[in-house]
Amino acid sequence: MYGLIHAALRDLILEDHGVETWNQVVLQSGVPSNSFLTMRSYSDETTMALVDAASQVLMLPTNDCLQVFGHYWVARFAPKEYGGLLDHTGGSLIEFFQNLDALHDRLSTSFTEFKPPSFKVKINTANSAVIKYVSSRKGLTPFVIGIITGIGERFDTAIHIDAVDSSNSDQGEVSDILISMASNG
Amino acid sequence: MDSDTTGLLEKLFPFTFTVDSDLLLSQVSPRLGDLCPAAVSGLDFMTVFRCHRPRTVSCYEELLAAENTLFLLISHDEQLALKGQMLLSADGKRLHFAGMPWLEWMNQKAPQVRLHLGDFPKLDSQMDRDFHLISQQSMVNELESLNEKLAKAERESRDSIKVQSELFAVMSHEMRTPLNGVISALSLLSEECSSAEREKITEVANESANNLLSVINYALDYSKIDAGKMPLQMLDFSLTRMLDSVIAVTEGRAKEKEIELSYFMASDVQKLVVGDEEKIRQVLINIVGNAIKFTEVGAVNVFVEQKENLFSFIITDTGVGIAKKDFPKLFNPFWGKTKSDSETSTGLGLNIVMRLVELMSGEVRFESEEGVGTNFRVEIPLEVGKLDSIPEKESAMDALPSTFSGRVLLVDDNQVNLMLGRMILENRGVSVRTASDGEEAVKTIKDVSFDLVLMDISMPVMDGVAAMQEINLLPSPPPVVALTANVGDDFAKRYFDAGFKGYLKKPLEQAAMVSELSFWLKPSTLDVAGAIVSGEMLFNSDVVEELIKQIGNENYLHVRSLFIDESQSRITSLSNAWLRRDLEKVRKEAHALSSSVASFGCEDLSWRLKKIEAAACLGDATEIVRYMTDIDSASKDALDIVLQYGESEEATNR
Ligand code: HEM
Repeated sequence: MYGLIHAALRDLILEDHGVETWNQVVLQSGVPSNSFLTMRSYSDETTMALVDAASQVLMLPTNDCLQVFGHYWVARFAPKEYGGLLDHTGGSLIEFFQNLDALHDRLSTSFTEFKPPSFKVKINTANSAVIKYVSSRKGLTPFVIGIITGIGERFDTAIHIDAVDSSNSDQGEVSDILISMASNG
Repeated sequence: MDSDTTGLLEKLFPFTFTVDSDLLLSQVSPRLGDLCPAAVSGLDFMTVFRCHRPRTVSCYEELLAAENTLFLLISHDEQLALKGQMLLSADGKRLHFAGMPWLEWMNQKAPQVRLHLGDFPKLDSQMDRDFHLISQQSMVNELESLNEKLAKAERESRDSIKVQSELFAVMSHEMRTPLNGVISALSLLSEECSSAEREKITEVANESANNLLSVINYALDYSKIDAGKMPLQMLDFSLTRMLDSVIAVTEGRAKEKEIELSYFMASDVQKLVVGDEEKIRQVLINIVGNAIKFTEVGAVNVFVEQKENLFSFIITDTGVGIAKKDFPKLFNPFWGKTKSDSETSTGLGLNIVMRLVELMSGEVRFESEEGVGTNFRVEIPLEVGKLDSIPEKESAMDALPSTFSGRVLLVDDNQVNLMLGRMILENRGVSVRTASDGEEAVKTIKDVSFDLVLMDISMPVMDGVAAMQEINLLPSPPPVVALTANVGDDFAKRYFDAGFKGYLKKPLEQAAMVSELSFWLKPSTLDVAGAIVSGEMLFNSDVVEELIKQIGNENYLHVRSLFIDESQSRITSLSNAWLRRDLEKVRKEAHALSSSVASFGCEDLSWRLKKIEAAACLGDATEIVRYMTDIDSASKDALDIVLQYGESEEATNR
């Protein structure tokens, strides 16, 4: 994945756990120190080595780690520089979900080696929906779940994950994520 | 344009409307209606928008004339700016506007208006460019932070090179001074030297060599701490015993300068603690040693206090003090080191003190007044010990036999090392063969059987590790211990992996060597259990000669008979005092005797008496027993020699 993602993981650990922990993660992962340039694409193995090392050092299961990371990504990291873009993605929660593909389409023109995920939204009732996540990678559904709850916070809405139905194949992973939403306001 | 076309146009462009020849609006697209409530069908185009481009439009004809140009429209409420184009309808009666938000303007003038990705045609690149700019900016930030890191790393590496080379210069200087001492002392040694001169020269050479060793030890400690390779060893220990040994090590120097040296422990200080005794000892020896060095008259005292788990060692002196301007530099490793007078330098020592104390999570501070003295305060958190008493530590040497029987092969390419090694081993009763490289060693081992092989690692022809491999292949290989200057866990592991059974650090130390020998060799049957080897001469005739020279033979004979009588009676009174366990008397008698027997050349006896005196001071009964046991026979032997020396010499010389 792009170095942008690595940089986000780095900032998360630096902000919440400190530089010692981060140094440990890098050491444990065996990832070279030049793997963090925003606009350079690195192998997915590199990304996963960082995630695995973080989960070992923080003593958190990988899935929990990914979920925390997803939340950090959309709630704290992306708004720092890409806040405008997030603002454009939607004026309401549902609109935001509906525009996720458009967002990643936009990104594709700059990130030429981008292999973005795809999201489709099926609205069940006013406060329940299924988000279908399709990825060419495997194992990142917990990351998506973290992001979804983070997006909820953007719109002052508590999102509850009611069910996750994942399947994966050589092509990657497909998950149907059933959510219910309750506005905090 | 038919409604199909308008629909298509709307799909491509989210912001569309139609304007007729009266400039009236119609077919306003929903998103335009949302963001610009004034855009209502039937209203005048000019009352809703002003044209930023083309500039001069006031009637339908002018709009028409600009059909193929870029339109930039701004709503009069300044909430929306559009960029797009006017297209003439099929019937030529209306103009259709197709457009999208003018993002640059919106970002600058109406950032509060929330635009959506859907507000932009898919093919429009304004958003992409925006995103691109953000990415560019973040790359610039990245570059700047990397640059900063690079500059910092460069600075640090420059500083560290400077530090290293300064250290190198200082170390070289510090090593050269004592080495010069060794060289010049040895060059003075010649056939013509009297034995007293020889002794003096050897003493100087020895002292310089020890200084050199301590500088090298500093360097090693320094680099060990620097590399984080000095782990804490937390063990139960007795503060009193530790302080006694600090005093024992430093008091010689204090006595020479006639400075008082003592320690005082507050009554509420817990004596048994858990901590790294060796490091604390090293810190205190260093500071006390410095205090003595810089004090000419008065006293050096160590006070010990305790507040909960924090132990304070306060070292006070009445020395020259430290100039205020030097305060900040005191712990700097190089401070004072460039002066040629090594007496004024404390540099590395205090730096290591600071590093050691920090390693133990403690603190070291000082206050000083020039001409008055200096106080150092070392505070170290220690756990209070759980043991009631510390088991008496047997000195490694005490428990070991002093002579051995067995055959040892010593392998080294350095002839001096071979010679020294042979001397040390033979002194211990061992029979020694030597070889100068690995190949010769392997050959010798094939011919002769050995109880132990001591082998150097780096040698020409075949090095120690290669030789070890060959030895491993022999049917019954002897145990081989490596001799090496490379110590540390990494090396140790390498040697054990190669098949060595142990390793000894070079230069060889008696204690380590004896402990290794005792592991592999049988103690010699000749060994007298518990024999005390003082390293002093039983009788030094030079001293008596000197005395005769000074007072004349006749007087000497007279004094000698007084001395013999006096000594005999003092020995008796010493033994009696000891039987009564009157330590004060023991101390006094031992003190008086030790100096008088020394004047008659009985060095070994004098040495024993000094030990008794010191042990009596410390109330150390075990130690007194050790030296009192054979004091009668030792003194008889010594006094006999004094008597005999007079008799035979008289006949020949005078
Ligand atoms: C400004 C906002 C965003 C930016 C700049 C961004 C950028 C990226 C980048 C660079 C990647 C790496 C993909 C690769 O290198 O091939 C990625 C992956 C991903 N993004 Fe986004 N993203 C953003 C918002 C979101 C949001 C809101 C979601 C919501 C669910 C999301 C979901 C994901 C997921 C799940 C992946 C993992 C790739 C996969 O599943 O195959 N992203 N994104």
